[in-house]
Amino acid sequence: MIKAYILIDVRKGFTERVVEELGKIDEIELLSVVTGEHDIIIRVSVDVLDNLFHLMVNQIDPIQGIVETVTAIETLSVTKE
Amino acid sequence: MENVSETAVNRVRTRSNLSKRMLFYSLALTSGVLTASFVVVDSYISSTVLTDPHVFAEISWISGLLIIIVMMGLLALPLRKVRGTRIPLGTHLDPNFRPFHLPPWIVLKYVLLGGVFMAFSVLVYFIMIDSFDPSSLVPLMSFVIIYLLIADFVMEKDNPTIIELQAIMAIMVGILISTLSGSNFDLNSVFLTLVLMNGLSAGVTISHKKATQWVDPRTRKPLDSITIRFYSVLAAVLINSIVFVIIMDDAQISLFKSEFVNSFPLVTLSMFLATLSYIIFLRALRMGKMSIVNSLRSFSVIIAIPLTMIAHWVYPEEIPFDAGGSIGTILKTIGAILFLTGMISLALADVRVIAIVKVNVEGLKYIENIAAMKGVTRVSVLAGKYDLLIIIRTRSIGKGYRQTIRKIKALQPVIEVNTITIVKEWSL
Repeated sequence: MIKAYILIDVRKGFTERVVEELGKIDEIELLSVVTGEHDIIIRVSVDVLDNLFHLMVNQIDPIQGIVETVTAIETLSVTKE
Repeated sequence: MENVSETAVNRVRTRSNLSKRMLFYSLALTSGVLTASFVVVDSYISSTVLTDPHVFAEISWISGLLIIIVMMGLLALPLRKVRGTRIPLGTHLDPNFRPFHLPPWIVLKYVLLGGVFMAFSVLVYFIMIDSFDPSSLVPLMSFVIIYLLIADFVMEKDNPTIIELQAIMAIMVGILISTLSGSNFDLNSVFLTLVLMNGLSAGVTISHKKATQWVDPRTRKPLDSITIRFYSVLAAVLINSIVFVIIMDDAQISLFKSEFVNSFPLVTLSMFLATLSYIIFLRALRMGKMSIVNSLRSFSVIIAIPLTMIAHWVYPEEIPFDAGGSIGTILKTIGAILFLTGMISLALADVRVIAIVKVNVEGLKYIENIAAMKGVTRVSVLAGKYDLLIIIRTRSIGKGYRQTIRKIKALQPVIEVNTITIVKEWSL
């Protein structure tokens, strides 16, 4: 299972709509509205890298209000909770 | 932002997560109900079959060990299918589950120490069970939270926030009102339970917390909770048996021999409820925040009141309900609600912070050090613009900075740290 974090910048006034649209995507396992350099951070889980591409191109990028995304694939994780 | 998020989450909820949320709340609440239930069952056993606390403790631990071995065996069965591979069922409860393995001494010593504390804490519990009705004992058992919070402040050399102080006061006063509302209580027993039993319980939690902070350098996984439970129970059985052998007299040997078979089903029921409560608690933890699970689980303090009343109505002689009349019952309920309010405010005070970090080539050697830092719940190594994403759970942004972010920044390979505060979060 491939996990990736996608850091999303949202156009002013579009946060609600973007959260609503992201909430419909099954591959997203964690969705956080944040303060700071980015507006939303999501953690996605896909079976293969190809699915991450399709997720980005077909489901996330077309959402109206998303200005920019930074995708970071998790290569290793240490979880305590 | 809050209004925007709330509206959005409501729409997100309607998508598919209602049943998942219901399951999460049900699991956490069930764990609380089971906690209150095993105290009621213990109260019944203690007043009918096993009147000696040492004998009761010994039979309970023997039964507890058998239950955890059977449960571990069941959880080891490769019944879970993930991407075509069959893996142990226990990974559903704890993804790091490894059945029947011997952890290295560096972490095992903390698990065993927790087991030693557990043996003595449970022994005091069995001694005290006759002094209180279950609805008074359940809140008293929760006093350990206060010790753990105070221990945190001392170890962190940090001042409590106003919310923490308010929560501590609500929990403390709630427990005292709940317990002292009865007409017939012994101050010595209250003192022994508050100081000795809860002090030992704090020892259990601190030892186990130390064990959970360890990360296997080879697999980069922490020790799973079921293994921690297994070795703790093993240590508790050994310690309790040694104490029992040293102090037992003829009457206790005779009671042990005569009542072992008779009492075993009831004792097993109680230990099964206790173990099941723990397993369900673990499952709930996999689905939601620890603070929320703990708050929901503390509903046991409220649930213990009607449960004790019903049990007292069915078995008036065996199970006491000492509320001191209707005013006492109201006071007891107010105390329980106050306690719950304190627990919920602590849970709501939790803040989650994300640190996105850029490091030089040496940075990846520090993952275990970062994972072991106070409040760090997840460290992800990333490919791309950033190198590490660290999720930190703290009780205030200031504390998160002082206890964790400052330490991360001080690490030599760290080039840049961007701190992001989560204002709203959904597990989907």
